[in-house]
Amino acid sequence: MAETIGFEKIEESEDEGMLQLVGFEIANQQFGVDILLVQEIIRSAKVTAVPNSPEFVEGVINLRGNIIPVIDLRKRLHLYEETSEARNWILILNIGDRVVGFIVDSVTKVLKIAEDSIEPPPEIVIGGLENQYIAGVCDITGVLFVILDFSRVLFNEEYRMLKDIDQDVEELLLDGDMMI
Amino acid sequence: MSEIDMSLLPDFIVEAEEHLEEMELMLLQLIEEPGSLELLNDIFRPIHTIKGGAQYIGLQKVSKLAHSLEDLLDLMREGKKKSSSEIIETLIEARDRIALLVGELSASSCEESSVDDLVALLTGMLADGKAVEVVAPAQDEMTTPQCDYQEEEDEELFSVFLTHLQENYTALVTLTRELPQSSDCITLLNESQALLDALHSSANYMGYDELVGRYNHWRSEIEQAIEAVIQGTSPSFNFMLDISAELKERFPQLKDVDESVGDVTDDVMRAFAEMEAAGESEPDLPEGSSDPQPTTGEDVTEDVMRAFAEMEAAGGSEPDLPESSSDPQPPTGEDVTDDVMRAFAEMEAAGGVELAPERPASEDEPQSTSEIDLVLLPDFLVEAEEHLEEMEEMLLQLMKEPGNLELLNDIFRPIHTLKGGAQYIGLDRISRLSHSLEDLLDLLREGEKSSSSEIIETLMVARDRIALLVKELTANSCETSSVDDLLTILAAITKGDATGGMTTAESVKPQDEIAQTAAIYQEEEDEELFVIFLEHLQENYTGLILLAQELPQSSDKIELLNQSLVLINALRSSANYMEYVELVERYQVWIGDVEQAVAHLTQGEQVELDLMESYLTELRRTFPQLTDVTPAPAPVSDPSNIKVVINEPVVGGLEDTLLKRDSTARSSSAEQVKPPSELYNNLSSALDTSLSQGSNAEDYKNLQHVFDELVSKNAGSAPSSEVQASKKVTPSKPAASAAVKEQKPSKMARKIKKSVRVDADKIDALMNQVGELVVDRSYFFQLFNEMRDLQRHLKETVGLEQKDVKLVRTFIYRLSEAIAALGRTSNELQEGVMKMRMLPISQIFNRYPRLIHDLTRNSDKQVNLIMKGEETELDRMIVEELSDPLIHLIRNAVDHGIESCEMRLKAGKPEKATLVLEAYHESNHVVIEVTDDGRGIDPEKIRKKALEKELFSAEELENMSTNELIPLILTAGFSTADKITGTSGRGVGMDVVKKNIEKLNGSLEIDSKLGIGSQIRLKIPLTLAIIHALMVRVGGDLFTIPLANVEETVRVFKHEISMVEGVEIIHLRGQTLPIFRLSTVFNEKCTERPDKSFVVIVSVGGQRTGFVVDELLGQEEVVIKPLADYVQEKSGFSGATIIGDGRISLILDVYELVRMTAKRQAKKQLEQTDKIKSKIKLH
Repeated sequence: MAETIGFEKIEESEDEGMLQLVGFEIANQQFGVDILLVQEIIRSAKVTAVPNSPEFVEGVINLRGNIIPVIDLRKRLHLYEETSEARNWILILNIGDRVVGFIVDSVTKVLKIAEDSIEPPPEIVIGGLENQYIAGVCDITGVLFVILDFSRVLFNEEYRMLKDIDQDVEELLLDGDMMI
Repeated sequence: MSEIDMSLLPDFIVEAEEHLEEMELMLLQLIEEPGSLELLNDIFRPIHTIKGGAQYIGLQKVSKLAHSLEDLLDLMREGKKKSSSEIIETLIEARDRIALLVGELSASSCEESSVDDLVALLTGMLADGKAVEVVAPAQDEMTTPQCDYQEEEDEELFSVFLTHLQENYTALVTLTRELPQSSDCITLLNESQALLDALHSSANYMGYDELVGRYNHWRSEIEQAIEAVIQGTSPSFNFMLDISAELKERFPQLKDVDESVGDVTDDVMRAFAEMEAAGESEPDLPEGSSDPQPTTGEDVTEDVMRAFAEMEAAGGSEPDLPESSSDPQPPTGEDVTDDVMRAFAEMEAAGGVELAPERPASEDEPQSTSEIDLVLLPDFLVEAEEHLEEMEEMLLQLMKEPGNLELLNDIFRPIHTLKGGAQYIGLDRISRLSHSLEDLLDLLREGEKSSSSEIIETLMVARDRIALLVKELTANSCETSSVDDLLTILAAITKGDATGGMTTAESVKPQDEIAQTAAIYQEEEDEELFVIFLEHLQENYTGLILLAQELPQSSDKIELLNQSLVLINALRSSANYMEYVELVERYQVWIGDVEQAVAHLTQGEQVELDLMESYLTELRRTFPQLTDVTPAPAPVSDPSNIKVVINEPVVGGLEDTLLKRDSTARSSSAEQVKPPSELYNNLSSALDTSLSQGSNAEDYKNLQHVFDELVSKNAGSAPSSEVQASKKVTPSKPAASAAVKEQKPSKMARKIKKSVRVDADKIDALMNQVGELVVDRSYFFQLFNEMRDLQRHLKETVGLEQKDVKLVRTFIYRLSEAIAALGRTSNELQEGVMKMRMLPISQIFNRYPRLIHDLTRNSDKQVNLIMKGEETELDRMIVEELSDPLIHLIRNAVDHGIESCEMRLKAGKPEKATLVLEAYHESNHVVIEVTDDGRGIDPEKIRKKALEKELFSAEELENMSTNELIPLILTAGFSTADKITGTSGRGVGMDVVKKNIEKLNGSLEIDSKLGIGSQIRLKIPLTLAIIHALMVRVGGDLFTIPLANVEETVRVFKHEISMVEGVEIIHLRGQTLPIFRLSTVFNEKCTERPDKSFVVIVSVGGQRTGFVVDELLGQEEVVIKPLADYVQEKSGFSGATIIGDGRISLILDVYELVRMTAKRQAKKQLEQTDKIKSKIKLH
């Protein structure tokens, strides 16, 4: 059903102070995510759209009997730069016991970096990216990798949604296109 | 320990909840029958279990409250207190408090609510009817402040604090003493201040605000004193004394350094240690407690009783705390201490080892010890084995490092856990043995005793015995091996040091000896057999003594001796079957001697007649359990005299026997050892003469004289006393075994219900997997259908030969068989797992008697609640979800439906209303009916209200039938009540019910007849996880509509649809209902046929709505899977399911969807009117 790339778990004792990142690309920007968060990477899964769900929710997929929501990371991070590449990679991450799929443009490689080479997010916005979702950045052979804080990517929005439920209802109600 | 045992907490909570529920029902019952003794006993049981559990785990507040409750119930049981409604209300309140605490425990694992108010209330009630009780109120007061400082959750922390306090306190007292003599007052005062500072900080971290305040006060006093000294004046240092005195008062645990006070405290502490050993070693000897204490008479008994009452009050709430065992004695002044001291001196004199003085409030103890909690037993056994293993290792280690204190502490822990567990479950022997072990270890820890190899050896033996008991428990769920021998040894070792050789230098030795000989004959594996043997022995022994007594005076000595021979022979055979080789040999020798004597007598020769006595003495020595009997002519009412009396015939070595008797008495029974001294003196002087002059007739006359005196003194109570005495003195053995025997049938009767407590999540996960299996099955079925298509294709298009097609057909047939088999298995599996999730509805039904009670308490209504079908099982989740709606329904019934007694009588109805709560199965639904015989729902009132609320026009309402009107009460904000009461009338009852029931895919029906009553019928599916659903296609996606919401499906042609205010509507059998196109709602590509559409009519909240779908696919059983919350939120879907081919189908939340679309519609209308208005404005 879905193509899977597996990662061997790295013994932590051996690489103290080292961090393994899965690198991926969205809108020509390089990103990284801690390999320990990555459950698996799949391609070509059929995504079932969920009407009326938040815009960034692409839908849900059937992952071996479990229904997993899939979030379009491009939309979630508001990166609307056009690319011609096929966007069919789904990173399945396990964030605080929640399994969520994130659609990315492509998965590049696994990198090993020293933890101290990670710098705090810069004040300025990188490629139109809001820095609240950035855990840090690091420079690898001249390419700037953005390490995303996925718990924020996921929960920040939820928090906002909970807070603004009523407002959202209003928005929904005002959305004329959705009307009958 | 008061540190809460987290591992056992969840179990306790579950159990406690069950018990509390049980209790509530019984308490409510008690209101009906306040005099029922059985009911009181029934109520006692769960409280006791809760107390035991709470103590074991270390829940101070729960156990304290439960203990007070027990006390009160005890009085009620004894009839000293009538169960007035006031008391029962208090009991209910206390139950609620415990329930609250249990709730807090399950939420945050700590007891938050205070129980002091209720405990005070209960104690107050106790005191009311307790004029007879001996507990002095002053003592009670003394224990209260102490409790404040002992209720500390963290026992370990508290003991650290206490140690620190003790240290500083000692230093402080020393400083205080030096102060008056010292020249350098300032230095001393500064030192004191430093000490107080330290104390201050420790009190601070313990959070004792009051204490901190006191410390602050004292510090400032010292500061003032220092200033005074600096200024040259000599201040009074009395305040320093005050400080130590107050500290001492607050913490009675503090050891005093002041010699004069110290002695007393030490004595009391020792006395308590003693008492503990005595009281704990034989707690199952209730008979012993009723023994009168002849010498000091009632005074002593009272003293002891008071002491025990006190001890219970102080230490009763935590009897499994070895540390606290020595501190429950608050310094209550000389008087009490003296009393207690005297009482203990008395007890000690009596041997004390097996004395079990009366415990006024603890009659439940024997009950609890005899009943083993079989549910918890397996857990305990597994744990015990682990602990024992651990212990063994550590004991072996201890042999290598006898001085290792840490190791001792380590050993202490498993024993303590074992003891706690054993006590909780009701394993008397293990708990007693481990208790003694604890005592010994305590001494070792405190360094009062060094761990010699001997002691360690004993510890090992004790450990092995516990292991043996545990094994026995595993095999047949009862403790068979005796522990008394080890208890005696342990007590001897412990006592050897505790009393500092003051009293027991002589007595311990013979006791030891006896204990050891007794041990030989008590280690018998088969307790029952041994008891029989003992009974037999006792019988024959008594016979022999009587014979021996007659012997000197008898003329026919040969006959008597022959009779003795028969008895001895009987004894020998019984010893033989017990395989006591040594004993058999002794009997053999005896028989030989007696035979010889008979032979001598027949030959007319004189024989020594004391041969019987010496053997009897020996027998007595070997079996300390034996009871002596009084000779027939000299009955005595006082058990204390018995032993003296039977010693009478035993002339040879009498003194020796007496000594022996003395010590055996200690270990064998609750005899009183202080005989009336005058008689005693007479007796011994007589014996002395008889001894010095040898055995002749004169001596016997002498003795006879003494006993005549005895008889005359005790005349009157004579005839029955023998039986009584022998009964009373019956040693613990037979008594205990009788208990064992009694216990056995009850144990057999109680069917062991094997059950496993499983985390609900695990079952849910399993359910999930079963759901997958169901999906897989339908996938197979789909494949089967495809295969058939393929067959047709092969036959028709490819043109396979008939022969080849047959092959395929055979295969398809076999495939269908396999699929059918898979279907059966998966169905059964699904059912099985569903049953695992099922709970009887009694779980919630049982809450309602209380609800009725609360609702009617302050009203002029009387309601009789009848529950039927409580055993009906429902899915766990549903049961929980049902609780609230049912509460609303019952409230409505009681508040609105049922009339007051007066009105009912006027209407010709019975005064007491009936409310029936009934549950039963109906196909794969459960129906719950709430029926009352109240006034029913008045359609006119509904009409009036509906008109007020402008729900309908007057004409519409006029035309509505009763059946149409009644469902209006389900509308939000609709209430027919004239006034709002505390419980209902706000109009948020029925709509909540309706909503909750619909959430469960259930339905609700109301049937009401004015003046006769109402019935509300809830129909709920058995489970939530799997639903019957209608599959539909909208655009390219499949959607699932729960069948519970679907009323019907209709095909609608385009011309049948009309537009009203921007909403499409259709007419269905005279009704107008709106329709929504799901393709629009879901933003799907519309693939509807232009001419006709399929409409699924759903019903929500009594309102019908049509959903237009592209295609109807059929019914299916689907497994509901949750959606992530941020996906599901406001989407109109309640979950998703995976269909046969792996695709996902979203399940419609019909209620939400209708609500959403209706809102949008309203909004749109608003906009349109706005637009129109603005247009008008523009124009």
